[in-house]
Amino acid sequence: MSDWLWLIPGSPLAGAAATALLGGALRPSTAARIATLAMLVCAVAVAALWATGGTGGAARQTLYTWMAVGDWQATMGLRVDRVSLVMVSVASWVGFLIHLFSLSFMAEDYGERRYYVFLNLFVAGMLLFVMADNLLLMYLGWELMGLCSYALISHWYRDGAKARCGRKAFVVTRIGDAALALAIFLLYTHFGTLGFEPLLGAVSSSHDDTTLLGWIAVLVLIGAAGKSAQLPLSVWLPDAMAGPSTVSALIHAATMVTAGVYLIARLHPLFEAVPQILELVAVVGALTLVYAGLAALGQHDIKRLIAYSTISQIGYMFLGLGVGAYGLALFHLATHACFKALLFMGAGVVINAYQGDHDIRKMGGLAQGQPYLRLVFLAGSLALAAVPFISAGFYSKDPIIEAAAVAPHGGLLWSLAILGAVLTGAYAFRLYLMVFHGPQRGETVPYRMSWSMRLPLGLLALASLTLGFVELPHGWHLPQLWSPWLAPEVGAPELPHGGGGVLLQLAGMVAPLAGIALAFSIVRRERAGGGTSTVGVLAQGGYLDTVYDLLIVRPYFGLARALRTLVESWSLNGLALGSVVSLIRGGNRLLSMTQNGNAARYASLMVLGAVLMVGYFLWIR
Amino acid sequence: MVYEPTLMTGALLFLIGLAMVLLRREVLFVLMGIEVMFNGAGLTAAAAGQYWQDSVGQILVLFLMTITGAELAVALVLVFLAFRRLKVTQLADIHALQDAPPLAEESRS
Amino acid sequence: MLWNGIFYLTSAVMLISALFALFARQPIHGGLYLVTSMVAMAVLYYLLGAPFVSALQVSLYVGAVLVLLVFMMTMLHRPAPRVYVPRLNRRFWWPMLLLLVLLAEIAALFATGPQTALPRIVSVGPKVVAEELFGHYLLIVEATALLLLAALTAVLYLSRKVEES
Repeated sequence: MSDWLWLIPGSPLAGAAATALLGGALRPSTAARIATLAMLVCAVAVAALWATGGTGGAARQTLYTWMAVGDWQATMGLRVDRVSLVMVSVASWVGFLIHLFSLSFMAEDYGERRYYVFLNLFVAGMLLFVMADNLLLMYLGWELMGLCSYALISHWYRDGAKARCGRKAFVVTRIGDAALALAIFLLYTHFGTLGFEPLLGAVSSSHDDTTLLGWIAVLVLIGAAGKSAQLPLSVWLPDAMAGPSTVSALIHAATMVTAGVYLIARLHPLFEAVPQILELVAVVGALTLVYAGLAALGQHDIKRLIAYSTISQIGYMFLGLGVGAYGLALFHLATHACFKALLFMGAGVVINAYQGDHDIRKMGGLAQGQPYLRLVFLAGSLALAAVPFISAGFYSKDPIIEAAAVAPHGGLLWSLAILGAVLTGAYAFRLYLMVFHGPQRGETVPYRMSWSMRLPLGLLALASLTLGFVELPHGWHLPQLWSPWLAPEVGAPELPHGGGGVLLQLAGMVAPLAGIALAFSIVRRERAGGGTSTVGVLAQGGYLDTVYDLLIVRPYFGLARALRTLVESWSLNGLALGSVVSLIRGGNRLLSMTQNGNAARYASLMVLGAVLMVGYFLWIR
Repeated sequence: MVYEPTLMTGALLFLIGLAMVLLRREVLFVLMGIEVMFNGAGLTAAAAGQYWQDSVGQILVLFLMTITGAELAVALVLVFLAFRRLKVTQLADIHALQDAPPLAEESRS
Repeated sequence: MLWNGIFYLTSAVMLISALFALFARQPIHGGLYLVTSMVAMAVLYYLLGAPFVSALQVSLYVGAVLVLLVFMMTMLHRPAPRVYVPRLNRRFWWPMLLLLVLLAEIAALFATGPQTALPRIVSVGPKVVAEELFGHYLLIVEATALLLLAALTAVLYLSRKVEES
């Protein structure tokens, strides 16, 4: 199997290349089928990987030496250990389902071929990112994802506002990218290698210079926060909803935004060398999850709501990472990918049913027109709210909340996490109830979903409900497959035991139910015209965008304007160019005087020459 | 005979011719001035020829005269044409062959 | 001694008549003054031992060149000539300055320094000149002939009658 590792990122890459090169010669539907086929090959390869070596050691394949300088070289090497296997499975399988969904969903759109090129390219980038065995190749995948994200968010680029959203996403994540690049540089100069195995070994065994390692860890955290839309770099994700819903499902739910989580999980020895930074990760996650939960409560645009929900859930993953429960964070990543992709794709169908309207205040009673959609959406909402026992979300989120309680600053972290659980239940069911419940509102069209749309939704709904069963709650002597399986690579999480542990588990069960009850009353008030969407602070996401605009964007443009005047207009055009031009004009004027057609003047000049020559002879005599 | 005063005479004649060229405004006077200048040069050449007691000086004078004749013929025809076409006899009035006036200020690109 | 006297007298005549030509009012007056000057110059040539050139001076310069000039003057009739009063403007002083400087330089060049004396005047006759001319300098003679041909062509062309369009 090691020899075929290249097929996993290579297949979508080939799909993208084929579609891009054949381009206009293909019909859009053919391009769609090529892309989906590439993803199918990739998914099958991953399944084969599970079949052959899922429980063993790591599979490795080095493709070729990318660059060699002196005695350092960077290779294009692929390495799949268990952590990568999780990520690769999520990316390829969910990716395949989303491609399948796009076959019907994105038909008769303009730019279909472009969409599929970038979609395939994105998956290739994600897989490269996850399967890389050194930081440099990983960064390549990271950047590739950023590029494709920008291209896909701005898919309908003819609308200037949508293009601006893509730019905003790119610029904000760029800050994170720059931080990550600096971290890579620092790591290289200090340790001399970028391959994961030697590097992480060196990091664990080095006990000196924790300030440098601390800075590196902070930079990595900034990079992860940028890509995963955590505070303070979360502002790009709500605006990224300008892209198609399938793009939101793939990139901004399942894969790219989880890249930060994977990054920190992969580099966890570095973070463990500087525990204070690890605590910082947890704090960032906790703050973000509450902030985003509150903001989600105030949204009336269906996709923005789900976007804030994504920010919040990734906050949970960061919280999990920060308290040392890397395996749990990855588990939540997997379940979240399933139900969030489901919710986004469902939202896309809802929007189409309401003929392009995103406002949930105008929706209602869709359950009667779209029963299948209602069922799968309900499954996703249950998983999101982490309703106990029947949803996968419960089995992945609750342990994180418990682990937060026993970590440093546990009291604060646990309170924020529990609050977040309540909020999650509230906004998740606020969304479900407002769209699907009650009397019919709004103008709908009878939108028929083809099998290629129903199948992915159904599979993801099934996963949202059942995936949790691989990690049943601890302490009850029930089978647990996930944590022990990952423990050799990332260690076991610290969870509370005994009476306190049971109490915390109960709290974790009650919180989502409380949130759901809250949702009913909120929806009643919302239907009456008031509700949380009228609260400015919530609806505007804490005015974070406004703050950034005032503090950063406007001064920057002001500076650019000032420079344009100062440097362009004055210095360059005025002084530099102007003086050259004046010089040439002056010279021209001077020389023109000798050609003014005045014969007497010519004679005088000749005489002047003669005088000078005779004078010279006199002088040398 | 003293040699230098002969050269001086030739030079002074040249100077007078030069004065006629520079200070007179009519075209014909300018041409006459040129003739006088040629004569001055010729006188100098002849004096030098006597100094070297050679015939070269005279040969030079001969050539000067010939070329003067050719040049004057053409110049006079031109003067006549100028008079007929442009109706001028002042040298300053013939100034058609000159540099164009400076370009107007171009707008900044 | 006699030679010196004749020489200086003749050169004085030459220079003074040239000066009168400089200040002449009408071109014809200037031309006539020039005739005087050139005849004086012919005498000077003879004094300097160049009889051949002396004869040529009279026949070529006076007889051809100045005659040509006089013809032109008759063809260019101008109304009543004005008094020649040089305007003392910038156009006058600048060349005047140059001329004065040149005069000073000539004086410095020739009047100062060692004065060479030539005891005897040797008359270089036409025969000698002809031998040199058609021997050593034959090429230049031919070239001059070509030049004259060119001038002839130019004059013929320029003086043709142009159709009034």
